[in-house]
Amino acid sequence: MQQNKNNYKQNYAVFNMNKRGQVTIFIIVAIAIIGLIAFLVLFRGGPTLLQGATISPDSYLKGCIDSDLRNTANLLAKNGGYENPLASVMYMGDNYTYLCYSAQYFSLCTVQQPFIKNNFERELTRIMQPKAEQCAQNLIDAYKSRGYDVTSAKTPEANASAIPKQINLDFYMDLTIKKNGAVQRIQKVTAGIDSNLYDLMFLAGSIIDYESTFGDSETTAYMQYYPDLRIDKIKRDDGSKIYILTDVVTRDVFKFASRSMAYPAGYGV
Amino acid sequence: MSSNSHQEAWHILQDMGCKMINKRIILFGVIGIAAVFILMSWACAAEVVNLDQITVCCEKTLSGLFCQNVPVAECAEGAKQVPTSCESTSYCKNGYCFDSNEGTCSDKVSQLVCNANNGLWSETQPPQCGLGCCVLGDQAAFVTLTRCKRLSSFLGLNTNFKTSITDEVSCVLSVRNQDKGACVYEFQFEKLCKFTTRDECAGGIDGNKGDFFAGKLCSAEELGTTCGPTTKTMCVPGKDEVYFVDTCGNPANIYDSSKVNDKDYWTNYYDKTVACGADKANENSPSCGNCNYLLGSFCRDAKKAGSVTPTYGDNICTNLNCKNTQNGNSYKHGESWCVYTDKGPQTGANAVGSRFYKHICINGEEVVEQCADFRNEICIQGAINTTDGPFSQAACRANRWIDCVKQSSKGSCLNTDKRDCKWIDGKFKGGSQNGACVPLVAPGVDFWSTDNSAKKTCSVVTDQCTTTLTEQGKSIFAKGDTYDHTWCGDSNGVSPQWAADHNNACGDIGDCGKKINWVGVSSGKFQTPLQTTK
Repeated sequence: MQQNKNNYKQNYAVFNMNKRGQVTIFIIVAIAIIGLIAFLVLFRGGPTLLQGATISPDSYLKGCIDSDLRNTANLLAKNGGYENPLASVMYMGDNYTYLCYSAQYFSLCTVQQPFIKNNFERELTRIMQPKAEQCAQNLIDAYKSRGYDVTSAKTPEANASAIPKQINLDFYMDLTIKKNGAVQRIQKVTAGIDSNLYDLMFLAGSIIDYESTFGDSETTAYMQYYPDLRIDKIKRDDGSKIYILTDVVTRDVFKFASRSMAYPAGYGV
Repeated sequence: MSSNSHQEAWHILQDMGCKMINKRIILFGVIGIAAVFILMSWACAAEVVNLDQITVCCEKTLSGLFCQNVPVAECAEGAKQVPTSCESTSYCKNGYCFDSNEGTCSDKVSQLVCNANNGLWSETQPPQCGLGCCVLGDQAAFVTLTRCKRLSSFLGLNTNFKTSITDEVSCVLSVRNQDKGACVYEFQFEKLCKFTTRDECAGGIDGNKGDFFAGKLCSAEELGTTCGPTTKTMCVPGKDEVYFVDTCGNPANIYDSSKVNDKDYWTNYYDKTVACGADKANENSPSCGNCNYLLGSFCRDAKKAGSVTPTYGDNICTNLNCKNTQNGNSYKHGESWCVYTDKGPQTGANAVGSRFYKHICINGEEVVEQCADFRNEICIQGAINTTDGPFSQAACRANRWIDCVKQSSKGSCLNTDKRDCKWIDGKFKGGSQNGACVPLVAPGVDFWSTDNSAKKTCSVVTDQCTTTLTEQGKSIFAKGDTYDHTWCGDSNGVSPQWAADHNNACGDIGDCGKKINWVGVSSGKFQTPLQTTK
């Protein structure tokens, strides 16, 4: 019985020790998780590589530019490809850029932007240029902090391009990186994001062609032909038409407006 | 009084007269000059107002729009402006605009806008805008040569542009029923494979010539390639179905969970007509990926679609059809139908604020598209008979009401080739002796506007009935009188029927008179135009 009692005590002590050990492990794991989260939070958006590790210019610049490129592309897509559109119509608090317009009633619209994609690329390049310069400078600093000798022969130039399923930003620069006698030269780096805006912009161009030729467009046919496409067309009382093109799979959206073959209220007298 | 005094008096009077005449002349002169100045200033002011209202073809407006016919005041400073239509100007004339980068060609683009965007403008269609059939693997596009080169480069294909095919339908049909199979080629001492067409294989894969095995899949063991079977699936661009995918990323046969380990199914290519669930939609089937777009199913990511989990892979045939729409009916993907928000005791009330809508079933969602406001467009609906029943199609089209009131004969009024009108019997202002022509669907008016346009529109049929009453309240147009007053008034004044008919006529030409609105509220009593002479 005594033995049993001792055993009980022993078991109890072992049980308690095991329990304490478990608690310690839990605390260590919790500290490690918190440390990891803190590390991720502190270094989010900053240099993505650890001290001493090899720098990949592609992944570094992509990490630096990714969120800005995505946000700017989406912003432009919501404004018909313009950062500051001059002529637009307001609907539900948002401005929609006229890509085809006629000030008169019973009149076909005049195309305001025949090359939507090219204009989008120009605007995106212009807006991203300062950020591209900053990211390139960050890359230089990151190399220097790792003991590399870096020389930049020219100011980095950004060039945005939209292609099917992707939007790319090319960094044209001339960096020479030296360390321990090894020399690396970087002249072009491309960072890209997944986006289906290319297709949506060409579709917008097709709708504009219809608007300028027939005064209206038939959206159902487009949606039947392209299974991933949704077109919302809102007709305003002044004759303006708002188009919202959505890729239902990628959720990319391109918005614009048109005013063609507008009818007056009543006889328009 | 002496003669001298008479003479003096005469002279004094004469002087006074002369002075008065001079004063009058001066006064008239001043008034005349003032009048001339006033008239001139009026004339000048009138001319200034007219100049402001003159419409010009403006190169760029204050709001930044190009080539608009607008009043002079709306034209931007320094912008070209000519008091004529833009079509008649050299700078805003429409023509073809070619984008040499993308190879797209737009007509109806003004020279100014085209040049400003680095396009090549031409009044007539340039050779670069000539269309042909661009073969892109097992698909085709009817585009320009430059565009074909661009599309081919995106897909990593050699340009295959056929100018002999002159229409889009023939172009699309030309790539149907092409031989498909495994194209085996060597790259860096590895035997690789791409599932493609015979033509593409003959052209080379990434510059490597390949051997074509018709009807074989890349995973076929006998080919000895690096590609093998997997349990993964994929959606293929341009295809409806869910496909198995091999280890090289090539699509294999249509997903069928019962054949995931079937050697033959990973060796030979099977058409969708012999695959699982042929001629069915197979929507949300966890075991069969033979989707059918025409029946309302399409390959989608199962997680994003929020549907059932497939036995293998991540993709499934999603149901695209719409159940229980706003009108309680179910529709297939791509079907469209009309909805009219009219409200009233009878159909055709054309209530104030009512409008036609086109509803579309797309990807399982009901999309609403308005027809033009003020009932300037109406919705028309029809159905195509298919083997699976009628397929509803709707469209907004112009409401051709504008010249209804000008028609004096019933025949021209009811000519549906030209207009959408109806004939109402009776005697109305502007109508013929036996009736009047009014819109079939009355247009709306912006009665809240301050420009009086609604009043002007309604005034087209505004009428009044004048009846003279005696002091005893009896009409002087008593029985036997030759004057036909019964259409307008009777012995007690204005006929209620006349008033009701005329109010209906008001409602028929627009949002005029007493009318109900689209939520069912009536505008109250209408005013009876009664003029009494004692």
